Amino acid sequence: MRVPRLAVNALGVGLALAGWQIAGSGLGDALVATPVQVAAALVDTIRDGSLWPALWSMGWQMMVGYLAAMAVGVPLGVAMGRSDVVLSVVKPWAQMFIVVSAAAIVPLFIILMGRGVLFCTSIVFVATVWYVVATMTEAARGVSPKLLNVARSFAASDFQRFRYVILPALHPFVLIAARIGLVHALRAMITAEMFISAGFGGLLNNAGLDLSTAPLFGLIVILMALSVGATSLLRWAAHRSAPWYASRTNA
Amino acid sequence: MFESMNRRDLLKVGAGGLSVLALGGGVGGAFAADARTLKINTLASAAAVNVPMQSALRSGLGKISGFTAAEVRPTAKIPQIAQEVIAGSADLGDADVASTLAAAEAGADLKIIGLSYSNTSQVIVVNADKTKSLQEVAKAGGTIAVNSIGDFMYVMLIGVLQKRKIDPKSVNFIEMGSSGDRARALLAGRVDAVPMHVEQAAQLAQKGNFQILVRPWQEYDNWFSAVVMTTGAWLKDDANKAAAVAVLKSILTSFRQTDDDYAWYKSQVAEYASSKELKGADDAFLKPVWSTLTTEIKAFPKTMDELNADQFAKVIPAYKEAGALKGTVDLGKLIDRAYLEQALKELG
Repeated sequence: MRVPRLAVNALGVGLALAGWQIAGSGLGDALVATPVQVAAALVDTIRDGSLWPALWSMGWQMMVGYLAAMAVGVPLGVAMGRSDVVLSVVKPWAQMFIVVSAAAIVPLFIILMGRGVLFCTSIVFVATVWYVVATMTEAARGVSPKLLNVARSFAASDFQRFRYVILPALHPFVLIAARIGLVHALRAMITAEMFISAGFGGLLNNAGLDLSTAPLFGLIVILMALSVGATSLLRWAAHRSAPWYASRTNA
Repeated sequence: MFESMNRRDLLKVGAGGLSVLALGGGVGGAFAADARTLKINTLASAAAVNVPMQSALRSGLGKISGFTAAEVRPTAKIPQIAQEVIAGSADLGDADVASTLAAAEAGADLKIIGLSYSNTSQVIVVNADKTKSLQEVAKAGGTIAVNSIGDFMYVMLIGVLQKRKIDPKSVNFIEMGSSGDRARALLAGRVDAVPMHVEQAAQLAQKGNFQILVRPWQEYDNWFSAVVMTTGAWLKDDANKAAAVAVLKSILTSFRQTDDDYAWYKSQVAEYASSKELKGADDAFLKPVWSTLTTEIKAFPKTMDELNADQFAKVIPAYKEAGALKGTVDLGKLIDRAYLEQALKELG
């Protein structure tokens, strides 16, 4: 008998929640709040009116930095993948910046840019763009030579090969880069906000002061739901727009 | 109407609309220019002891002619407060004493012009079932979690250990973010002693045999922790001098109200405290905290007499012993009471 996938997922979630409830009941809410306590705290957090403005403020600033990172990272990554000169010039910088955590550069950015929109979007941009670049570089380098040779044998110009072979081949990878970038953008935004105790990061800071962990866990649950929701949406968009690639990865 | 509009009419309407917007913006700007909004960096979290200062900046300052409520800029990393003031991106800072003294000693052009509160409200708490004294912690090679190595509580503890003839090297100091995190670490038995605010110590006492081992105000006359500071260059401007006086007037007013009126303090805690638990605290919990802050710790001095070079000189040896300062800072130059004196004169 084949058990439906949804039922297996629900069973997994149920078992995890049950384990969490048992652990929380034993350790107390100051160490591990139970799912029931977290749910109650979540309701309080939603009711007190501070959550939605914080989410909105975080969301739009993050999106500005993220979209800028995509706008720069995708063409730069493709250029690195297709041109040895660009690769030689940019790769050392990309390798250096990709390992720098957002937390390490936030203090410097605060002093240089203050604490406004420019600061938050810049942190998100810097923390995201190199992951987009790395993904797109590998994708551009991996375009099948067979496809390019076929185009050449039909006398396709450089532009035609780029427009009709390389770009379509890269399309699914743009959406993968978007998913990877989004996760890093969200993490960078939270880090930036925690430093200046603003928006959602400020709520996390304040919740950390309470002896009970329930409000903190409640906010973390919201963050996880946001991340899962956004990446699922991008995955769905990828499956819809590049079904040939989705069929290869869904096996 | 719109059907009959030609391109020229549309441009006229557009230009008119933009003019109205520009005029509106200009009028708004003219009104806004009358009242100044100061950028003031403060700690990210407002504990019970920080509430009067927060109230002064977020509410009291706006009641003084020529000023709006300050743009309070919470800062998670304590040394960042002074750094931003030095960099000129903030007008004033509610900075910790350790980083301010260290920056001044390193040559930064800083002035301490007021107190954010006098005497810290942080205490050292232990699980009394496991530990009865600092000697026991040291003997067992125990661990104490502080916000950051070199901060005012770390230095205070080093001083207390030395007073008790305990080698500070026999204790492991680790850095741990917020006082809430430290309280949880103590509860879980992962560390042996932690600094936390008096109200958190009272909360933790409800969870077990957690007792206060060190009260800084009993160890030192005044253990300064946070000061109102800015740069000497900023204070050269007459408008900034007036701003400094206004901020101090607001803080002094808030201190006085806190000392005199528990109901007012409670309302401000509900408004400005960071922790939800503290915001919603009832009288049974909050009144003893207020009483400790105002009478035992004397955290909110009505005239800030404690702000002087002699009082600060008493804590410098502890900083020197802890390696946080060389001890060469010129306190007479660093502490500037001129704006405080003016504020006191104007308040009467």
